[in-house]
Amino acid sequence: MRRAPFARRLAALLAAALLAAFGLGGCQGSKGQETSAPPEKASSGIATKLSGPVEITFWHAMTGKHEEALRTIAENFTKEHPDIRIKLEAQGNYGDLQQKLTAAAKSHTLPVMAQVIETWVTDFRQNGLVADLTPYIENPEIGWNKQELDDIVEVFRKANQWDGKYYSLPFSKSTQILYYNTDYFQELGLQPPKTWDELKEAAKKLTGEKNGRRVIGMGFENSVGWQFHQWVKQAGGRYVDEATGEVLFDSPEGREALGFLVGLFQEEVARLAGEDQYVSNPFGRGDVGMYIGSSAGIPFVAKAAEGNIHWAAAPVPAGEEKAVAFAGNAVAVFDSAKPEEKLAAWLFIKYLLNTDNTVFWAKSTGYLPIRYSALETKEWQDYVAQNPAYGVGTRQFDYGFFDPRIPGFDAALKEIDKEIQAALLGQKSADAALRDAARAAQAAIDRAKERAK
Amino acid sequence: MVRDALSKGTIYLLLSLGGVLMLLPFLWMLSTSLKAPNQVAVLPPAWVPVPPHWENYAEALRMAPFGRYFVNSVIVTTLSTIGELLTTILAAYAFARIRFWGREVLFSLLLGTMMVPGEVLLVPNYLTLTKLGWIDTYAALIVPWTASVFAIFLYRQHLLSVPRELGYAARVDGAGDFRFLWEILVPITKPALVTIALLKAIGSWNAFLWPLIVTNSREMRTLPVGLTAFTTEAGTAYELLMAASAFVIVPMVVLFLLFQRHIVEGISRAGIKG
Repeated sequence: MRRAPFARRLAALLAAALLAAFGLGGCQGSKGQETSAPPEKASSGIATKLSGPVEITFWHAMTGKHEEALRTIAENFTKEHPDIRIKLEAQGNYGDLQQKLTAAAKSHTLPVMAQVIETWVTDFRQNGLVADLTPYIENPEIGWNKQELDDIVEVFRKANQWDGKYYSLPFSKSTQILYYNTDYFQELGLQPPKTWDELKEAAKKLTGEKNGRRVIGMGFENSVGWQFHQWVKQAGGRYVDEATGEVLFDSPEGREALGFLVGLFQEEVARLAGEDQYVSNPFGRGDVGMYIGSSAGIPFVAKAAEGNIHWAAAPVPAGEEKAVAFAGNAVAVFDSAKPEEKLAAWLFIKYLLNTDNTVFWAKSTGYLPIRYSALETKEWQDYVAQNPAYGVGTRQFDYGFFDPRIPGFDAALKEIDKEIQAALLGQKSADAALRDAARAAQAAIDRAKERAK
Repeated sequence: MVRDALSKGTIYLLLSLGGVLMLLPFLWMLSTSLKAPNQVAVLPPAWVPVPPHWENYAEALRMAPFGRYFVNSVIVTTLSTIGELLTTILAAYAFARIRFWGREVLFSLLLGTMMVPGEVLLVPNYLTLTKLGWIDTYAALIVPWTASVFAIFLYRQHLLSVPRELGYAARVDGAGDFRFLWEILVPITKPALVTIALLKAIGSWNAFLWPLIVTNSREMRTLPVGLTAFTTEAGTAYELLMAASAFVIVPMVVLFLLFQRHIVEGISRAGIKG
């Protein structure tokens, strides 16, 4: 997942702060409840049959071709369930969507369901806004059996569980992969790096003059601060404790991770994307030998590279441990919806996430299939044979992880990003940056915790 | 004479250079809108794309219902501009020409509201609209924008600059406030009103966040919201975005070319007595 532009995020932040001041951040919805746990509901209290036609609104952040694909799925669904109509409403990018959901929650005009990011769900859940989907999943009539549920890729499933219950389900998922320039790699007799040492070695060899062009071996996205979690985990360290909100990366492992990255920059074999925002452009014109970025960027790399360079993708190299971040979004149903609307939304989610549709979605958008069975389908295998880069992400399922879903993490991330960048650009020593990042991140998380009380 | 011509020449040269510099982003937009995706980020930039990819325009327009967005933008821009002109003329006249209790305090309060950043007002305004049941309607897109403190301030300064004697003369001739305002003041302050209308039209045409927040369905969205169709979380299709942008700004460029003389006049005369 990439971050929204600064101005947009600032606006979202302001709106959030305002809502906090108004008391929504506190305990709107969970009236009189002291704990952060949502009100318990009898799992039998769900509707399992529709008594008439239902229309449900689905707010999403998909644009252009992604939106078209979503529309196709919704239309096909209505053909199978003529009594349910899905009203798709695009709400801009993720920042806009979050802002709108916040405003809608405050004014009690939430849609029936929405595309969400798991970190938001923590907030929604604390405020009693999202419906617990577990009773639907476990219902013998309309739910999934154990096998079907286990078919959803484990790392995605876990990212949508809170205290063993599902408040959202994975939908559009992406991961980090290594993009590399096959022309340069062949010329130098290099193989895609599998370890940190090989990565550094390759970066050194790739750096230099090539056909009158200054090439830098390794590229990092401007949002490298978000990747830092991955590097810390690879060094064997821990990042932030999801249970306590304690920031843990100011550790020997954290120092090792940042030290490694800073080392690449000090030896001038690595660069940031810079004004292009994403490395896909510099990589596509041959200025960068390889880079680690989101698998959702494959279409952009392909476009930028066309006619300029040849390229391929490989799994992210490993450190002490193998660890790769998975990101993206999920779908959630809001508790304010009527029982029949919730049922209709569940039926749609079930359809949206079935094997055929997850393959269709992955093929049309570049996101990853979210089911193991999808990887076995002929359709997907043919597709990957044609487009090998799309198959790389799914090879990393077994050591995937996701960001802690705690309040204040977005704000903490911003602080971390700032400090990591300062270290990479040589404006600050690695140790000082790490210490300051940890301190600022902890403060941001503590503030959010304080507000949530 | 020669020295005059020389210095004049230098001035024109500098101004032309400045003009070209100002135009660069615009030219970049036009040039990028005709590029193939792999040409967009090439360094140094290729200013003349060979061959030009005209199909970018067709493709860009296919990505979202731009026809509908265009109609909505025209409706919203026109009505909110007319609305703002009406409220501005009436309010500014009251503040400039009518003596009433608390006038100065009221005017200061009004100016004070300009200090409140728009982002802070977003959620309260949204709540108000929800209560009114206006979400996803033209009313939500238009009504909140039919008054502008800045416009009232600007127009009031213009009205203050009109000699008081004109008002006395009109009164002697038997004209009331209303007639004096519409038949004498409005015609002689036309440049100011054109300025206000143009600023409004441009602002309204380009508004993004508000239309996005208060509307839900595709049928109610405006052009700037449509431009988001080219941005994803992993990158932006610049060639399509620029093609759509070029299409979106054409009406504003035409308006500006038609009325640019009035804009300069309207702003440069604000607050000057005489």
